[in-house]
Amino acid sequence: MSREYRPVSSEYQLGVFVDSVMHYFENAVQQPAACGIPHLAVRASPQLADYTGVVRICGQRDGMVVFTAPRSMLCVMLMCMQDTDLSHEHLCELVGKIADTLSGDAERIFRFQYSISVRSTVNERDAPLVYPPHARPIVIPIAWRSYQARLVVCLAG
Amino acid sequence: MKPQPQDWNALADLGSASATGSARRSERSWPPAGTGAASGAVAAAAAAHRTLLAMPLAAIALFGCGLLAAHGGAALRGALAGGAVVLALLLPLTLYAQRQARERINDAAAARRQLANILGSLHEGLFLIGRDLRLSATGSASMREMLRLGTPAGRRFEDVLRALLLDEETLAAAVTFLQLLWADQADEQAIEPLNPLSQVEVSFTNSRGASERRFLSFSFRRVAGSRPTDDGILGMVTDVTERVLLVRELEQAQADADSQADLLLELVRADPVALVAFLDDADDAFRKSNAILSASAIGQPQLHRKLMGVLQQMDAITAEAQALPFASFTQRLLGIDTVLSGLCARTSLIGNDFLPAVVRLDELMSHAATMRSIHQHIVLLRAASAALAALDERAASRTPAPVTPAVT
Repeated sequence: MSREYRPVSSEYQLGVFVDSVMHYFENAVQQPAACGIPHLAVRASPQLADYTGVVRICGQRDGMVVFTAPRSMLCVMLMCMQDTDLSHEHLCELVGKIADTLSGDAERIFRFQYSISVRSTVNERDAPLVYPPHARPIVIPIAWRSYQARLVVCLAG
Repeated sequence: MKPQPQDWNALADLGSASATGSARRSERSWPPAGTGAASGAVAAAAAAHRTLLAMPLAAIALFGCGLLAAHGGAALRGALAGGAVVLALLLPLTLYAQRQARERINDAAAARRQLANILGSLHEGLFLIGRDLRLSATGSASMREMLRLGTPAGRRFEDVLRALLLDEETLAAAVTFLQLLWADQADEQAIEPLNPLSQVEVSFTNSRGASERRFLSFSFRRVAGSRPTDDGILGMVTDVTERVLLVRELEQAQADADSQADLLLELVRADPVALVAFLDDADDAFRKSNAILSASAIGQPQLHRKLMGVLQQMDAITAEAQALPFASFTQRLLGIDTVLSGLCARTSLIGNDFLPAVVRLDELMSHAATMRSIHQHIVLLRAASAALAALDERAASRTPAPVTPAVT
């Protein structure tokens, strides 16, 4: 008898990360974002924007979750939060907060399956991210006002 | 420290009892003995206190009225002085009774606070259902979170389930089970395995209108209150989504392991030229599908056009896989086909809806890569085996024939 092929977990995990980012926009910035059509980064690594927050994951599956956004978007987000400090450090902190939200939600929901590392922030000048071999990152565009950020989920095995 | 499940069981034990028999009612009742006994004692103490004060005052008043009527003012003054002496003697008793009542009130308040703390910190959702199958106000905070209920008090449990469950059959079975649980003749332990909600898939609609699926496990125990009207069913709900998904993943891994052997057989039997051509076509179709998904699209018509484009690519590959035949590939292609067809039927699409399709596309690409890798190994093994056979043949032809001695 043939079994039904139902890889529920991967979709569920992706959904958790997407929801986490959406909630951040709803709660912290008070303006909802929209999830674009996801696709795979097949030929090359996904392009990173000016500021990137990274959450490394190990356990049942190894990999990383990345939130990357342009500087202009982060500046407007800060202004929406009534924050006038638009320095590089402050922008890094904002993208770090989004990564913290991702890691917090992942830790809460996947506490039995994964160990979530402390988030790190990188920017365009840093070395490119190294994704797990033989894994294709899933890129989920996040549209907020007229800006585009990206959520990249890459879990191997 | 948060209470553990065994603590919760202890709490639940307070309430489990059959609906018949007053002896068993007093043995196990809801609310828990601590709070119920304390509040009863407070009421009794307050009543005794009131009686203690009212009776002598009433007696003195009656006696004074009698004296006034019979003997006049002097006798009344004497009687009032006597009454004052009696009251002075009663005062310490009254104060003692008052103190006792206050202590019991404090105990009752402490018990209520403890109960509220327990209900607030339980991981499991706890709730109470009345004989009319309506939820009572008593319930843990996690229950409201798990069932997404703002104000559970007074709501019909059937209505709560109707909003969560995916099918009417489970709902009907759940209502029947709860009614059966109320029956005096029913053996609680015997009917427990019949619980249709022991593991059930539920669906919530979040604030953005997207559907969220969870797996919940309900368990129910009949409880008896101090009065028959207080009888209820104590329900417990836990979120077992993680556990269910892990089990499914394990089953999937086992199925994958089984299919590896089938895949190897398929590849050994396949025509190498046709196989490579199929894998090239599949790779091309997957990349085209991914390119379609990654292209920008605005509005529902464009989203539907994207879907149709991906579906066409997949249909072409499915036909090819069925013709060869590659069962493992066909199975996965039918999986993505079902997802895409489901999306096509929707009138409104959002980006989130495409996540299952992308996950399946990723799995198809991985499967194609595995097939190509195994095929390359098979080709290498065949080549090596052919080379060895050729060497053996050459070695055999070079070996001189054994010289046989001439017979004279």
